[in-house]
Amino acid sequence: MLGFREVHVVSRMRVWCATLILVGTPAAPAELTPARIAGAQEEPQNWLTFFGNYGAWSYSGLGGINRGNVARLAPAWTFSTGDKGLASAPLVIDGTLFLLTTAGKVYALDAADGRILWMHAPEATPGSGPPRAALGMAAAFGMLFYVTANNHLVAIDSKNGGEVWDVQIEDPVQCSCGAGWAPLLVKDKVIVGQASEAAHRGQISAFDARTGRLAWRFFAIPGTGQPGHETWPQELWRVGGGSSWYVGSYDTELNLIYWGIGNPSPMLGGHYAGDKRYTESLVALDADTGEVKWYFQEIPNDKLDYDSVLEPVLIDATIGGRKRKLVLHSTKGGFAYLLDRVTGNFIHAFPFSDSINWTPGIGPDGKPLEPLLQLSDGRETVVCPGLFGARAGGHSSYSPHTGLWYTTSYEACTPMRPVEVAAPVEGQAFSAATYGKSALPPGKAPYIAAFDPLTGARKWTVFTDGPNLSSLLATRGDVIFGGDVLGHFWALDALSGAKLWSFNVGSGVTGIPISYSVNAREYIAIGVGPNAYSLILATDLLTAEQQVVMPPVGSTLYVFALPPRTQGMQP
Amino acid sequence: MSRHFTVACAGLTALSTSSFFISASADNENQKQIDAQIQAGKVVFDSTCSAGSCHGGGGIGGRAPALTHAIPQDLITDTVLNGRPGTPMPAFKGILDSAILAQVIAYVSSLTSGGRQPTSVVVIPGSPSNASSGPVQSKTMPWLESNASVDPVGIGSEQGIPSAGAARFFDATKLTSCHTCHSYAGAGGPIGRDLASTDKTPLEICQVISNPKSASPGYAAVRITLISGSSSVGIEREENEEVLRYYDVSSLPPILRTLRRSAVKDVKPLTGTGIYDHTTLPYTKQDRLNLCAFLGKARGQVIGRSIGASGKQERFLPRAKSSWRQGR
Repeated sequence: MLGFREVHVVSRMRVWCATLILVGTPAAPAELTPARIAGAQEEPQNWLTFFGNYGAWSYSGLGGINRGNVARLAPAWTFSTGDKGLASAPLVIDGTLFLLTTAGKVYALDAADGRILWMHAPEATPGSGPPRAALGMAAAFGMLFYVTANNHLVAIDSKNGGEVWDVQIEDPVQCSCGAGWAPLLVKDKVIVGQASEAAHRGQISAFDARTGRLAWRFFAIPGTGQPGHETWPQELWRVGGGSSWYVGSYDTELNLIYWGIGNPSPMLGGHYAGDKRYTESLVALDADTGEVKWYFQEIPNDKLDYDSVLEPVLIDATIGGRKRKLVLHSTKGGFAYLLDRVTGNFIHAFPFSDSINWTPGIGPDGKPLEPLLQLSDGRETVVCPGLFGARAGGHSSYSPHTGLWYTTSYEACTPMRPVEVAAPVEGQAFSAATYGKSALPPGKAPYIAAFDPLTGARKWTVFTDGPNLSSLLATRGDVIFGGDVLGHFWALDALSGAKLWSFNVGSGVTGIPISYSVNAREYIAIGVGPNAYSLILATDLLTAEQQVVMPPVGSTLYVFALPPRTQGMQP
Repeated sequence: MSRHFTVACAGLTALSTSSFFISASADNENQKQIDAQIQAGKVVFDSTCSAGSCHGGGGIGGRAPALTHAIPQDLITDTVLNGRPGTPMPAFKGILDSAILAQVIAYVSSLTSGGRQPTSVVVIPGSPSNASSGPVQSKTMPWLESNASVDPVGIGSEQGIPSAGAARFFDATKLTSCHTCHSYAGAGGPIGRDLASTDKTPLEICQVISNPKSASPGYAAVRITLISGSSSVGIEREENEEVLRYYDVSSLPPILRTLRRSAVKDVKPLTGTGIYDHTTLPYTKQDRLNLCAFLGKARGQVIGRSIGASGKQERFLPRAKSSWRQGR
């Protein structure tokens, strides 16, 4: 039986066919507008923005591939980039799949068969450093937007790949920083975060999508005279960190952007006092001005690098008979925080990791309870979650169909030892501890779990072979897609966690699965091959035995579909 | 006999002394180049190899191994160029250019040997850049205030402080900082000329800044008129049969725009005109004097040594106090 969405798509196809007959030439699809992205749930055949929608759900409204028939999923086509690693999320717009590769090339492919329509190769930028793998692009107004290894934001023409404009976000040499993992298009602006471990001042920038002009810049550390500046000691605010790393979400009604801000510097400790606002906070920014509407600091004066940078998931639900606009924000510290996204008021927090020793829990005010784990001078302290947190890369998914939130927990811990912190120098390393290899505590194993975000109740847990470094995709067919670094891409039952299907893709899966359809045929796409960042995680988190069987680093986009005529069928 | 001996001895001494000086100065020159290479390598290492928590600052180790124990230079070279298969260590050959690779290898070699290596300037085997074996470009983090003089420089009847000028030039909290467009010793933006090599005096620099009609050759503005009739002004970067690319500096940061040639009607130089009116930049008078002192050749005009209010140089951050107060 065809689901509602497929009927919808088919009826749209009929309209197109009618147009074809009348005009005799294919009707060009309407240009991608911000309004279409805001209504992304209404066109599940496309994947218009990094997370699939502005709510950071990583959810597809397509259900033709479902828990009943996913076992028959087979490759439809593959595309090898020739790079090392492929972890980015493609965009799919009206039958064209746009792919950003690890080396910074952009391909436009026919989404039905992988045929190359055009390719954009960036100009060589000698001395720009190794590519920090960008994880995706933004699109609108006939353009694609992506960030480069040397901290530029670039706009190219989505029809032919021709460059339109290119702007340096910040001098990457001086700040030792790069751009966040993908830009987010909101209204007429492209918004980018910032990534750095060095002594620097974090920020989020918004550029006019059509002209490339800087529209606003939000500094993650308030400057002189701004509220919160007093939470910084001495002159630390100039280099006190606050990278944003990841990608935010957006509420079109409230016109607010939600973005997570990372750790203060020095990383992993030091003796600087103060709450260090807005580090380790979720911030709600006015989309037009970048002004802070509210913020919620999850860890004041964090000393364990528990970056509050993961995706803010927007959930609408009824609590106590009242319709509420909520945001669920998970952090590397292993807790997920449920907040009112209108006011920023704390509702509750729950652990999504079993391996937490840095705090006894989260208090009724949303702050971590004492006693907090402290690193002691001259000896090693085992910290859980470890250096990479409960989850550092790869995002969660939320299914409005099951009402559940799906996430990974690495469960690993890391021994850390304080080192003397020298005075900060802009753009230079600024860390207060050194650390050993991460390891699982006895009796613990990495897992994927499903939670009710409203109660924090865990519905199921599936232990995995090594930590899951891929993002998760939930679908209306009640399937969860993900993959492991040992080279398997798999499907889980969204209701029970049971493994329904697995396919050996020959290289580690650390990418971002998406779903789309062309001519009513549904596809699941996943970039295969760990990028440099994922390899660092894998090397640290895998056991020696697992590292031996880790497959070589490939770089292929796998696109799966059901064999013709089986889509929508029950077994 | 004794006289002969003395002369011979003196001659020998003179000979040995002069050859000693020759070799010492060659050694000095060699050591200077090695040191410059190591120092440049540190800059790259700190932003590339220690970042992401891999090898850690100073190679103390992190997610990747520490680099503080003895490792043969051949192995360092091979690992940097070709990576370590099966580990996250990527091959940097083709990612960084060979001069930069040589700098990183020199720095890591110095780390792993406690400063005893390298004994000669590192060159990458088989790299084309070896042919033009000029001195290795040194990147000395010119944005650090501590790399510029704190001694006031006379400019007409006034004075500026070079280190404060360096801080303003590279102030990352302001879009109107000079480094947004200009570089200094290779650090900064590519739109205006590199300002480290000027032969102007501080006073002449101040005159240039206050006179926007004096762009350097090669950095002058052009007016681009499109077939559609609209026109814009920018600094041309490159053109070929297909496209014209120019920097739009009507807002900051500058935007590199690419136009299809088919859309361009004509491109005309705005002769002798600097595109950017530097007089509109929000500098205080003292900012301007400090910048002139930083950028100009002092030619012996140093007029004294400044001491901070605390009686010692502020070590906490590489920034001038004057710019600290202005904030965002």
